[in-house]
Amino acid sequence: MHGRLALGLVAVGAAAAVPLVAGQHILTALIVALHASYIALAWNVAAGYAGQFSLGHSLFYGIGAYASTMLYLKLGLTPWAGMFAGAAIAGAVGVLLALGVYRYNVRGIFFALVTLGAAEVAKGLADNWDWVKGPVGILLTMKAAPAEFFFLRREPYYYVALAMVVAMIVISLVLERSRLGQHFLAVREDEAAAEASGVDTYRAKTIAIGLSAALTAFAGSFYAQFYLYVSPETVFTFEPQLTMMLGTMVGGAGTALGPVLGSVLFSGLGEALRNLPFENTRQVVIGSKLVYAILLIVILIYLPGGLITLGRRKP
Amino acid sequence: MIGLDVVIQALLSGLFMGSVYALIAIGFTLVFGVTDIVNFAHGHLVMAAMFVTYFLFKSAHLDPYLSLVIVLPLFFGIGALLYVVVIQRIVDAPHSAHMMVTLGLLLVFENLANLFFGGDLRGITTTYTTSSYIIGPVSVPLARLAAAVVSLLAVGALSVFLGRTSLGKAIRASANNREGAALVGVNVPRVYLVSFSLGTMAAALAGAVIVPFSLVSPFVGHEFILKAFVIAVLGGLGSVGGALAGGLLIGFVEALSSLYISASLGNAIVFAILIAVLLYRPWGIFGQAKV
Repeated sequence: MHGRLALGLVAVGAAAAVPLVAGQHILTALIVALHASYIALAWNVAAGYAGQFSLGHSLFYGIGAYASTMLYLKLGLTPWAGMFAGAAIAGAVGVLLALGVYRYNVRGIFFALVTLGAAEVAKGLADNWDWVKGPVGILLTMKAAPAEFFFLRREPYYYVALAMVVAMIVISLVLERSRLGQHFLAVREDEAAAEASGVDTYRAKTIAIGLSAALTAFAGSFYAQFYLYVSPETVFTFEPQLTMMLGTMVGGAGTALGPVLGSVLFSGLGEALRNLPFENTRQVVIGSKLVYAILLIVILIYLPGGLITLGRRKP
Repeated sequence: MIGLDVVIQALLSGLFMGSVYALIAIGFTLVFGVTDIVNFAHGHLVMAAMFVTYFLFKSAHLDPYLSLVIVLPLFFGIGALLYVVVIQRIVDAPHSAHMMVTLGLLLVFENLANLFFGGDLRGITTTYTTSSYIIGPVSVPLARLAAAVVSLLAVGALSVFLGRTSLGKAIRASANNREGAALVGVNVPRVYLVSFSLGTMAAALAGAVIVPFSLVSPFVGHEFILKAFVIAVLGGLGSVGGALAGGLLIGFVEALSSLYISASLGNAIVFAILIAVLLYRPWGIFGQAKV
């Protein structure tokens, strides 16, 4: 145990030292990879641990992005605080959605479709809501204002993203060892059996969605501050959802490090390729996506537990 | 106030597109009903068929309806190949694996198309692309009418196939009870293969007949799969008759909501209906509850 803790600290220390040697291009790629790892881990709380395969997490991601941005623009609230407000709103929306959906016993593929539909509805509403500028989206101005979560250089964003991922890994590890986490696993493995042995599955599933939603929203706020642009087309679409699922399923669902492994592999490499001076950058990027998609299929067929299970002995 | 002729025009276009949606959704729901697999790549199979039809027209001047002679067998084969190479290996895996693997297929199709053809929207102009019959105040676009008629004929042919032929009966038996069907001598793996190929062929047929009046790009598949989901759920997943009714319903809802509310809210309305149906009648509006 102490060995693993030491290893973890060394890894974090090494990651913290990266900006000393890496240029802005590499840092951008790493920020994208860290951001992808974070949302994958946040989705993993519901989908990986509790087995609630949501396809609508873009909803919570978008709420986070819009909440911190609108609070900043309309009320002057710093996004550092706004991201917590966004998480609270997303958590509440997640709990309400879960209460409704689980009340009617929607599960499996139907649960996936309902959540997908919820995100689509949110996109339609945002597209038609003038107060948030509809489909045009909201531009934030680039400036140096650390107190308001704006930086001109990549390094501060990198450290924020790194801190978020480290926090998310710790949350996942704590969850794994907690009673609540055990309830999540019980629900995932066999809901009827969990219910029969005294687990309040309705409550456990609702908490899983609410917690996962709130955690996802933080990443939405980070996205807004990093890209300085929020629109229905960028946050409420399937794109963020896909990032979460690819990283988690390739790396290993229901583990604390699998989603990071998968996300770094997918997003990090993709971003690195995009920034390298290839002759036909477009083809290289599309080609790499193609390779990932094939990789995804192969891994899911031959290694259903994800890459993280590669070294493990079969039981 | 919107005039009656405009409403009739909208209902007509809803009927036409709804028929095509129904065909797409029936392919989707057939695959789900039999193999229990939700094929996220189904809309992208429509897209692939659109591209094939587009290039047959551009390079060989083959009319989209004539090109069906090539497109239909080709996509039956592609379906069989996909089943043997990929789908077969995950039939017994959990639903989450089904969704991820077919999402992977979706990404493969989309990026293949994007790599070779680029992301631009492309369309063709046939001799009948802009022709229409004028009946009183309403104009009936010929290309859309033909697409709807062919789609409905295909739906009818599929129902007859499932209801009357022995292979069709074997398919329905396997959908109903896999072990039971195997027990009475149905070759279940073959039934799965045929169902998946038929579903793929239905998607391809729909894709081919809309080419004369639709634009194609690597990304058009998303719209089709979302529609197929909603329609299949409305009709009750796995139900062919339900999918037909659901397709027409969604065609009308789409046409009327773009007329009365806003085109960009159309999808949101469709999905709000989906959520309501999944909560209150998960077996579909037209389906029956399983006891």
